[in-house]
Amino acid sequence: MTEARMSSEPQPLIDLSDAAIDWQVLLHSGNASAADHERYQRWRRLSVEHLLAAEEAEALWGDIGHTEAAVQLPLQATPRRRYRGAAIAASLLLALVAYGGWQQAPALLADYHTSTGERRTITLEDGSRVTLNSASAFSVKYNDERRVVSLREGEALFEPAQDPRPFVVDSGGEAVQGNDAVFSVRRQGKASSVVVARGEARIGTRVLAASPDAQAQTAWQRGKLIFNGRPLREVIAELERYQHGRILISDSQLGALPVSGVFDLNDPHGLLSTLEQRYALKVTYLPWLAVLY
Amino acid sequence: MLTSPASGLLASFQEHYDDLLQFLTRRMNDRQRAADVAQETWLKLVKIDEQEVPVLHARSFIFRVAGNLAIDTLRREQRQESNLGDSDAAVQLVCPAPAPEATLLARERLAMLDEALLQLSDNARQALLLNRVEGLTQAQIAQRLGVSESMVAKYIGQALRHCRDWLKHNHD
Repeated sequence: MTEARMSSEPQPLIDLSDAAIDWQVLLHSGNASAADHERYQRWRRLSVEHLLAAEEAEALWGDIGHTEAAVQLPLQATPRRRYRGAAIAASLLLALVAYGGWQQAPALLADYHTSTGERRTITLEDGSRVTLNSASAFSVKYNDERRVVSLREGEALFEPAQDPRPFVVDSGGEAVQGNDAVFSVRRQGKASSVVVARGEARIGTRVLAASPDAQAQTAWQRGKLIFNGRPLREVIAELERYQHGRILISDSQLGALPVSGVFDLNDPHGLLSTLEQRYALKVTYLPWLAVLY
Repeated sequence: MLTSPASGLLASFQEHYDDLLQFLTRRMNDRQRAADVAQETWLKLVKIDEQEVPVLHARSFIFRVAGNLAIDTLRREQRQESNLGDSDAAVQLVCPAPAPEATLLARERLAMLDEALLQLSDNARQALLLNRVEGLTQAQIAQRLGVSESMVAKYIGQALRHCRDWLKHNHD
């Protein structure tokens, strides 16, 4: 379109847009105070022009998390990876462990548990660290020969401390042993799955090694959910673990829609609204229920 | 105050409707399609209006919103034509469902963002992605990249501005 522009056409509000970007930089810097967040909320509402600039900058910030570059980032193991919590070289092995005897023990019987939406890292007496995902529970049984952790429900990431005694995770079926590994175990119905993030773990005589997906699989530990072309129904099933209430997908075709992106676990509602915008879904919220169509 | 800020925006839309329609007709080359975009603009303004935020320059704001929607519509139509060949008949057959369209627009936007990210310097891209995706603080990124914290803030600001400009450049 190269026609002459009408004088009434608005000027680009580049200054406001720059200011809105500066706000994004500050708010995500790690140095922003509660007062900064409040100031930003006030700034946003100074006028609709501010609001529009703010929304554009927020959308930009949000969308960058859904680019190919962002989704690939955790998969590129670089020599200098992160150190907070577990330093995890990318790797994965998914092993299905036959489900043994007892029914899900209630969280009340466990030594440690988290409620829905909660995450917690616990340091055990030997220095081993266990990060519990949402709605998860485990108990500890240490003796002179073995360090046994029983995962009662949900999912946990284990970082065993150096110790001559074997470190064993029991999730109802075959036990996983991983003295020199960082690994997560998740109970799902009658099966458990194991993701080895670093090192090697063992189930019986089988050795579980590692693969490039673990960084994404254990992203929950860093407060993120990472999906790379996962069907919407699986994404929603994941999301349901982190919030109260159900999410229904209205038709099965929609459930197959591939979804990619990095989402913030502390804001499951935000994930739904992102899906709404990005994939043009509609979300209807009822008490304890969201319906996607 | 006789009017709320909200109704100011909507009142202004009504007041300037003829001008707006003219402006859109020139952009869209077609009065009917212009009216559709005007309708879309109204719906968007109603949403903005619900936020009850004051308007500095209602008229220019409305034209800006309408202009953006017009561009989106034109791009959408161009793509449909190129997808289906240039024959008028093919275009006539298109009865676009809104959902896949919006998805396409979103995908295109992400593809552009990826392009923009590739154009950045390594440090600027790393700083932005480590911040946005890994959730590292500026201090942690500074340590990792071996630069000062204020440099990291600069990188991230730069990277975001570049992404914004690239989107805008490809949008108009």
